[in-house]
Amino acid sequence: MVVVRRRSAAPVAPSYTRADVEALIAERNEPAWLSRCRLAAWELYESLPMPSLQDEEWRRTDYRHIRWEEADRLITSAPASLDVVPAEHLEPLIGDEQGGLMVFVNGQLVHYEVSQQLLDAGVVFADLATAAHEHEAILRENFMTKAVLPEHGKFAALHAALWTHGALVYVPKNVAAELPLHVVMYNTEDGASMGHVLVVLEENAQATMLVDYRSAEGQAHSAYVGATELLVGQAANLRYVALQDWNRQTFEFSHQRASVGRDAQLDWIIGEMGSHLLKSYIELDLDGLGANGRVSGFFFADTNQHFDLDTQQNHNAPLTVSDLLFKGAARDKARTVWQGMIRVQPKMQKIDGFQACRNLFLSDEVRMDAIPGLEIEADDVACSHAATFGSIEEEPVFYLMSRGIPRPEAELMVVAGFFDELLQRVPFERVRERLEAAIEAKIVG
Amino acid sequence: MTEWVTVCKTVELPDGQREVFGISDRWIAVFNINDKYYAIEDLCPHDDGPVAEGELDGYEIECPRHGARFDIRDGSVKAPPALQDVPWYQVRVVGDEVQIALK
Repeated sequence: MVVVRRRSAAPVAPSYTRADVEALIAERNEPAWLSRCRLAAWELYESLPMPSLQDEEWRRTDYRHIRWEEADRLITSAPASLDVVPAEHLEPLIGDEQGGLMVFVNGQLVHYEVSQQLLDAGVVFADLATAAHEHEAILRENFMTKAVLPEHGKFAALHAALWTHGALVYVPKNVAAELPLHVVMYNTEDGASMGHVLVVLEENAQATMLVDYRSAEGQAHSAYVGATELLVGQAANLRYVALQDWNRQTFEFSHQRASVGRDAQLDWIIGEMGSHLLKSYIELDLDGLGANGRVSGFFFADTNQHFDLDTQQNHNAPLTVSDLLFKGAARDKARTVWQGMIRVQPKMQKIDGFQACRNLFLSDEVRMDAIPGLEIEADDVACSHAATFGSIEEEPVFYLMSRGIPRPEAELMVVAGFFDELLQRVPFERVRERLEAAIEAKIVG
Repeated sequence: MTEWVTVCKTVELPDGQREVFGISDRWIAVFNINDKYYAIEDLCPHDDGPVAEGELDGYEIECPRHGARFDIRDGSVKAPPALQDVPWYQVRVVGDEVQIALK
């Protein structure tokens, strides 16, 4: 068993240097402005301290166990091929047909397909390395300039300096990308990867997208430092699903942020099943009059998993609606934290904001924290929040057992019932089935 | 099953000193008081604070965040806001090695 002496209370930083950023720039042949962004982000990264237990947002998440000497090795030069990705990960989860499929293995693009129908309509579905040259104007205007900014934190700055791969989706004005788009990020190597998803919907555009984060079993620690940016333009409509099932050696530090414009609609579904430790910022900016954002979060932690989800709903315009529901369970010695905030700016009246986190604990040794918060600076709003905790009720289990159902199946049915409220918000049958399978795997193995 | 894990040599942890060791996912603080060794988890049950960084008064340690107090000999809680004991571990010396028992 590895024993490490803790010399300092402050977390240790990964071993990256400016030379790593310069090497990445030299290797990529990116446009000069993008290289400058990387270097500026690196300067910022170096000026910021590693987040620690002294910081309010991190006080419940101690990531000092991460072995950076294993986890900070960028894996993008490792061998990669589509063959290593299990076939079921490539199947469409939304509808029978996919408008596009992009698969990254160890941060390298190994498969790309997109329907001609979407291309003819002007839809861009490209990996970021290609987009940097072929869709430079879109990228320059939107990449880490409107949603996730390098200054949002140490890991956001690190991501901006060293991001390795990612996808750009751009849907032009008045175009409905009817067929869903699917991005898979799959790792087979232990080490670091930094993926990015940028979705830009112009006025009155529509799109549906699924992003799948997975990795093969690992032997050493890994780190995923990611970012997701969803820019939903005026009267646009985005349905976005992100499912995370990293291996149990992975530490994820990610920023996910959406900006929803006037009369636009975002339906955002998040599933967190895997990883060893997860710290994720999930932020919803309602930036235009009449913007509507719905966020549905599923999480289930077991063994010694640690999930820390930090959600924020920013009502930056009047007549905006946000509806956030997270439902989670924990078993064994797992630890979960959800911190939520609804923020209403001054003079932003007629706001309807809701947030809730409902927790189910399945052992006496878990700890689940749910901390809702409101910061309201307007006086004509309806904002509410809720946090609940409970364990499996014995009565329904007993009832099911009295009908001949063995206890494990009976408990599974009760847990599935707990999650049903959330699953009903998921408009895609196969995504629901995936989440139901995850529940079953967590309960019965 | 109890597993004894060597954390350091006795000379590395003199009387009156403490050290925190990372074992698997746990941080465990080992104290030497009058050449007897005690170990508790460095995780305040109140709000996950780094309890072992607090001040030691006899055998009682005070969490630096909110002042919860624990007896390092058996992890028992002595003052709120913590309501539960902090996990503690048996310690033994084998030769010149300090070992703690993982449960």
